[in-house]
Amino acid sequence: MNPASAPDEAQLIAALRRGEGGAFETLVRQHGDALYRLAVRVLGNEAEARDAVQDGFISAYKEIKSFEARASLKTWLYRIVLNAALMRRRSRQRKNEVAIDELLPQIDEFRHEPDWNFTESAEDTVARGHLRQHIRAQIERLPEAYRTVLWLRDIEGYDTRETAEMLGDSEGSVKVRLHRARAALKTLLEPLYKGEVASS
Amino acid sequence: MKRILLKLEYLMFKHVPGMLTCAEADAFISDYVDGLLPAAQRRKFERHIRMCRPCRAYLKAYRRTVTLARLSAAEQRAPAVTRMPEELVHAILAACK
Repeated sequence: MNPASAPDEAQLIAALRRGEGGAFETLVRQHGDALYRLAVRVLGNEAEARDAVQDGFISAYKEIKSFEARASLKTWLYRIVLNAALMRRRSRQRKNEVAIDELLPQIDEFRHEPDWNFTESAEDTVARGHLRQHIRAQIERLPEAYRTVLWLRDIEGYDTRETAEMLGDSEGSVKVRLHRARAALKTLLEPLYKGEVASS
Repeated sequence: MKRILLKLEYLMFKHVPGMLTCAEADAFISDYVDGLLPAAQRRKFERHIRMCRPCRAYLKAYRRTVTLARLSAAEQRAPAVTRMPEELVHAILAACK
């Protein structure tokens, strides 16, 4: 197979399963750039991203015969590279994580919530570098299972079904984790909402 | 006095047909913010929000949280790198021969 041509997905999968020359290079060139950017976003640096993408493609190469086409080839590759990147990140993180149960609102018979008075737009808040860093730091404190869902849904913009496919989870579980992640992040951002984070 | 009023509110939410309690409304908030709540549930949720000040305040802060998360990561979503390095392509292909 000529890597410069663009076969449709079924043709490419068939060629990969046959071990046809050039098919794997086509796969790497078709999806490599997007997967590399994904890994850089997850890991925050190119050195680790290279390792994660390489690990991911090697796994894909080994597992292509067991690919069942329930998801698209792209989603399947994203899932493999995402997991490779998350495994690397997991090994260097955790020390600042907070248990999710400590961050969720307690609603007995009714909710207790102060009236929030936001004096500036969200855009103006994130325009200040130190507040943007504060928000990112709070996202990093979410337990990984929740942070990953928040990141895929609210930051990367994948829908619930795509997120579930990438994580190998059910849509129901993704929805529950997304809500908990958002609720927990809200709790972590309350000092900011109360004006307790230095504004300059 | 405030506690009594809250208790009365809770009893109304709990016993008036078609009203959600705060805990029930909480389960809908994520889909509501994403615009994914079916019409009948959305109407129930909005009815609760109109009548419940704490849930209205919570929804306001919850929405802001989602917006701030998205905006704060905008730079991370658009990293300077756009292409996978060619030497990485070669390394992958060499490892998979």
